[in-house]
Amino acid sequence: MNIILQCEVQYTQILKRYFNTYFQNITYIQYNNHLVNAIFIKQIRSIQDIKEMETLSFYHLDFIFLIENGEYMFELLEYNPLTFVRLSHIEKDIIHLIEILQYKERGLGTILNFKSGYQTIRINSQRIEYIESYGHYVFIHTESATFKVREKLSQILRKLKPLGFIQIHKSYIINKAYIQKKTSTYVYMNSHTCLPIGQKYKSQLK
Amino acid sequence: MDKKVTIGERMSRKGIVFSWIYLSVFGLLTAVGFFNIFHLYTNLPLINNYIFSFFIYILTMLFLTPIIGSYETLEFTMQSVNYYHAKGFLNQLVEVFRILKNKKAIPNTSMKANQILKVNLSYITQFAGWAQKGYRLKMTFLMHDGSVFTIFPTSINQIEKGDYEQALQLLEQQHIEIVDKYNLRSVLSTNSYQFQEYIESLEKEKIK
Repeated sequence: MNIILQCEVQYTQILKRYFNTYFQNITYIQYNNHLVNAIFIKQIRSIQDIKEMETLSFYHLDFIFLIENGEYMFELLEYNPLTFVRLSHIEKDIIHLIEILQYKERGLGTILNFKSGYQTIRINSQRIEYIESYGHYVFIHTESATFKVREKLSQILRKLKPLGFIQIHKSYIINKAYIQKKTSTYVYMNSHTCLPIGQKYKSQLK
Repeated sequence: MDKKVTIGERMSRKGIVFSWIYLSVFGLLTAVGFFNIFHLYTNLPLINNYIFSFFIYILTMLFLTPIIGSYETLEFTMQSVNYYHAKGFLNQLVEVFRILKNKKAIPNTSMKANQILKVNLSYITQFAGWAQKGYRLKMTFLMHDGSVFTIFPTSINQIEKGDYEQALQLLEQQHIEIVDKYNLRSVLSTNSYQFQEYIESLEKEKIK
């Protein structure tokens, strides 16, 4: 994993300490080097740093922003960051960052982007409760919202299977973490939604 | 009573019937045009000409009907924020039949109001085919769980009706923070011309 660190020395030291503990194959590269397949960790101090992002966004990098407060959050969201690290809660947020990087190292994407008509949706896969097939569309149900995307259920399952999702019916994929109760024919989710189990998929739930 | 603010217009059955009558003129013109072509350049019997022209009429109407189905609405209630849109030929055609059948519309995105943390108002630049520059409102909804939903409400003509201000007030009543760095809110309660002018002035300021 290639990492570019562009932040104050004190934060660089903290980040390096954690990364060296949790990851074995880690390479710290310089900003001037060839920027490919790298994770760019950048501290945002002023609007000038955001302007610099316009140039950086041409390289297909994964960004992580170190922020002091939420002032530039919406501007930074344009660059699809993997996560934000709040400097006031750095130790706590780094743990979350490590989890994301571990997923990434295993080739699993936790942040999913969907295009739905004129709308762009960016969602953490762990927030998805269940997915429902509806004609040529799928409905993605999360804790906070429901949205309709034109995609095949099988394609979504391919993306989500390694992240703890299973198919329980020809029309339903569920996140195992959200199961509240299950019977031989139904699965009850945390949101009190009751979903049927297909005959063909019963073995997957055992 | 539950408060509801809708931005954008929704097509009704009555509207569809009126639009169909209006579009039938184009359908008839095409059918008559083809009838004359068949009549002048082929030796088909007259009855076949009528049948062909009728098919041409049906085909034209099928191509024109989706235009009626094009719509985009944003609905704010105390429980949720719902975004409905129909995009693309087939979707718009399906939408017309859905309205005619009087079936309930399913939102493309439905956000639970109590899960919305912040709403950011900003804009994007868009260019028309003849290099004319315009601006579109961009609404970004940040949820409590970190999810982000971005919506570009194109029904900007609703500005004149002051719907945006009502919708934002409804969100504020539910303690949702509105982030408005460009002070767009003030122009959202004027008209679309002023909205464009205001952003143009912001863009000029940036260059200075």
